[in-house]
Amino acid sequence: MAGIVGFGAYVPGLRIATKEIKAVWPAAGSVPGIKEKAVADFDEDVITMSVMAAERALAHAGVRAEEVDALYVATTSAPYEEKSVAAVIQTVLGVPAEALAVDFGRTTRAGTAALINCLAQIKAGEINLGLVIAGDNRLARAGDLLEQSLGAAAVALVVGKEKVIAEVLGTASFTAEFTNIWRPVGERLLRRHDDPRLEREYGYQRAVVKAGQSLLARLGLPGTAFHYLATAEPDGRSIQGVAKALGIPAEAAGPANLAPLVGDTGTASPFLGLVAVLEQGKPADKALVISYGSGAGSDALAVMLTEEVAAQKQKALTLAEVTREKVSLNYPAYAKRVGLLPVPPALPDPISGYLTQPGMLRDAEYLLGLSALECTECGSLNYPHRDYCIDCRSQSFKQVKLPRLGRVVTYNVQYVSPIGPEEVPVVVCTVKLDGAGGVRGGKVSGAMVAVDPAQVKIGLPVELVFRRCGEELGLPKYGYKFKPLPETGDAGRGAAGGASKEL
Amino acid sequence: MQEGGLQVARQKSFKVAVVGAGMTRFGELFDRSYEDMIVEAYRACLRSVDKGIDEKDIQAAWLATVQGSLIRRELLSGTSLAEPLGLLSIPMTRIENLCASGSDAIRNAACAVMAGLYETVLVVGAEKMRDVPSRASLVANRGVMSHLWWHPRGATAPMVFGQVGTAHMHAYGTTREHFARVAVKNHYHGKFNPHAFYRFEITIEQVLNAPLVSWPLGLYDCCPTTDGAAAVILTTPERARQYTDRPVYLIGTGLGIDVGHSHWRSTYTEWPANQQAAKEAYAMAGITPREVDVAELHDCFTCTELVTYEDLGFCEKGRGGAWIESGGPWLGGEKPCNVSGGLKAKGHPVGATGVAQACEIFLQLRGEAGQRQVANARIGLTHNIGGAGQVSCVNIYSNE
Repeated sequence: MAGIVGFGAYVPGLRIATKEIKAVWPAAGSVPGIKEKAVADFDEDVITMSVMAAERALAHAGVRAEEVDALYVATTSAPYEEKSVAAVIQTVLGVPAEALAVDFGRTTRAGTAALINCLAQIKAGEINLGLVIAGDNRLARAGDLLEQSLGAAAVALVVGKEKVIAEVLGTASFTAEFTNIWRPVGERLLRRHDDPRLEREYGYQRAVVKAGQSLLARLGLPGTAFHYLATAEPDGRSIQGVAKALGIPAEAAGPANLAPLVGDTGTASPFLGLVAVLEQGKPADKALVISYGSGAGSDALAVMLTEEVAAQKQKALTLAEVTREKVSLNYPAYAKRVGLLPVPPALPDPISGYLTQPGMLRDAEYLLGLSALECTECGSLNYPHRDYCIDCRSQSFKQVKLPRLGRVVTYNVQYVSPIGPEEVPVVVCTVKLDGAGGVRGGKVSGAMVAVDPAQVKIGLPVELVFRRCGEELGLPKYGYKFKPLPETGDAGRGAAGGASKEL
Repeated sequence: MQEGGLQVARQKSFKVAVVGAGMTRFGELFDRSYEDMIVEAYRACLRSVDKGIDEKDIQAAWLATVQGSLIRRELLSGTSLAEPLGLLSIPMTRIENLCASGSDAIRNAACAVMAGLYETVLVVGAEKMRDVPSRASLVANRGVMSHLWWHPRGATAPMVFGQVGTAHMHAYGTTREHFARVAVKNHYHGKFNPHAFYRFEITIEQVLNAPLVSWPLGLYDCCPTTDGAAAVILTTPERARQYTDRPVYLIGTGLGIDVGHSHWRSTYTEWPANQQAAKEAYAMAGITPREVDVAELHDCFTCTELVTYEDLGFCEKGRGGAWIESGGPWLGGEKPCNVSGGLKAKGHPVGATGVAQACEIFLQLRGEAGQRQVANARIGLTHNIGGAGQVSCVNIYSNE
């Protein structure tokens, strides 16, 4: 049996309400059913979101990154036109370099395409365990209708043969060239034909329903056999039209109808719905998942929940938890974050080459993969690596993974930030990691994600989260920032499901 | 870990004379090049030698400059000193040891004299900071060793020193007002120093209400970005009599080192490098902190000076705030600190700073410091901290 073993989702905490956008662009028209949408912060992009989702999925499945045989990353909003997104994610997660690492893209249909390919590899016996990540952070022109809908999110699915929580019963596809939304080479913002109804009816509706009908026919099942429907959601209402056309009860489309709260999350959208289904469903429930890409078409997958779904449920970070922390933006704050209002460059850069090319060769494993050395004499955690222990000068170490939770030792609040585009004030802190030994060792330093400095104090519990840390020569750099945690003392609170120690 | 650092074998035997000291005014010297400043400081230094000096007596020279690698202005090492002075036939060495470079250059030159390699040597410290916008100078530079993931330029000097300020406030109840008093004091002292950049007084309220740079540090808690150069001439005590009847002697020197990565520091309420340097220098000079009459401290930020009082043993650990509140480090107080105005009011052209501190002590121990003269000063101390406490140099001078 091949299917989904675990899942994880990441939705950025920032939101903009549709009414904020419409107040600035009253003539833009309306996208039905969208109340607000998720916005990536300055230090978030599809790579950071994908990493967060993947860490959650691996923790949920109870698998280590080292066990993953193939990594599939699907997105239309990669931060590079040429260069693998999967490679940086592979390094960060610690997926073996020998694993297959594939980039899918060009269309928001790419996520289901990646999943179908991964399933085929498993069924063929080529691999045992795959990780499929679908994320998007698509951007629209100021005042365009799409500006109201396009949201940011990523979903990761662990796919395998054992402890499957949702068995894939079958797949079907429908390819359609009819193009209403596209993005030419060299452009950042989507373009579209100015006829939303045509897109809705002849683009989306036709491809999604055709793929769904084709799958129902192939499985010999009526729409009424399905308890849940999860589709790509270009707006807040279309999913209901799909349910009706496929003969699926209207209430089956309710749980996965997430666009009203996060917007159209593109490649992630049908999978985000699937996550909601997996959280709510019971064993033997069936769900239909259908993607869509304009100028591409749709893929449909039918899944059936297994007995395992109940056992795995308490391990899942729920969508409610993922979307719990919300901060509402006004239009200018949003416009800066999506690049519609250009942020002036930070201070002049007298020094370049922080990550030199050879430096990247030497440092990627520890900077991104968080490999650390623990002294076998005194227990001090040496990060970055040293040959002589920073605390006792011993030369005997074992390799471990850096713990992800810790507490603030000291901090400052930067009001003059030498880097952009993060907005000041930026809290910068030194953190003692939980369970990490050493007087000098056992600590790390860096910036916090955007927080109110007043909430920061010495002793505050924090978690390391993966974020964008500036860019150079147009190449984004990635690293970790600190995110404050509620003072609960619950070690399992972190996004990655707590500290994993042994490498 | 190794404790105590170098054990100094020959206590009280270290003695190198200072026979000349001169400097430029510190400030925004837009009309003078790096080389112009070196020449000006050198000439002032020559002029200060009471009985005059033949330039041919200078057998070797050391140059302290940091900015070379900071903004890529000056990368010619010792040549940067040799060429403007036209001294092309003696060995010259450039010292770069962060903000402690000036004091360390003096230390290295003095060690060469003590070793008997040379009799008379020149030390020049120089820095051109303001050829770039002030915010692009040390504010934007640089902590490659200090930040792991966030862009390394995120780890600026105000950041790493600010974190010590926060930790000290948390541990000892020190306040921003205590820090502010350091700025107020040094501005008051700077008023009397014709070489100082800022020669006006400020109030505690002005310091507290200034724009924040890196909380707990505001704009007036930070030293300014300045250009400047300073020079001293060192020689043996025997040879010194040929140049002056009132030499000043370097009698102790210590250099402390700590980890480069700020997250690896063992403490955030003190600087072990300071303590190591002071311990070594006091032992070499055969004195205790009590005997220091006047001190030039590294007040790159107000909190730096306050914590340094404790590290050097001028007051008890955790009592830095109380000590400045009691007036201890003021001119006329128990142990005047930074009567030159310090880095805060005089300025901080990085490589020149330690040498300029020596110039101030030279004046103080000869009774030539005018309105800012510390009465009966016999023993003077200079303290230079480099990086965020990665290196510290303490030099002790006596007029006997």
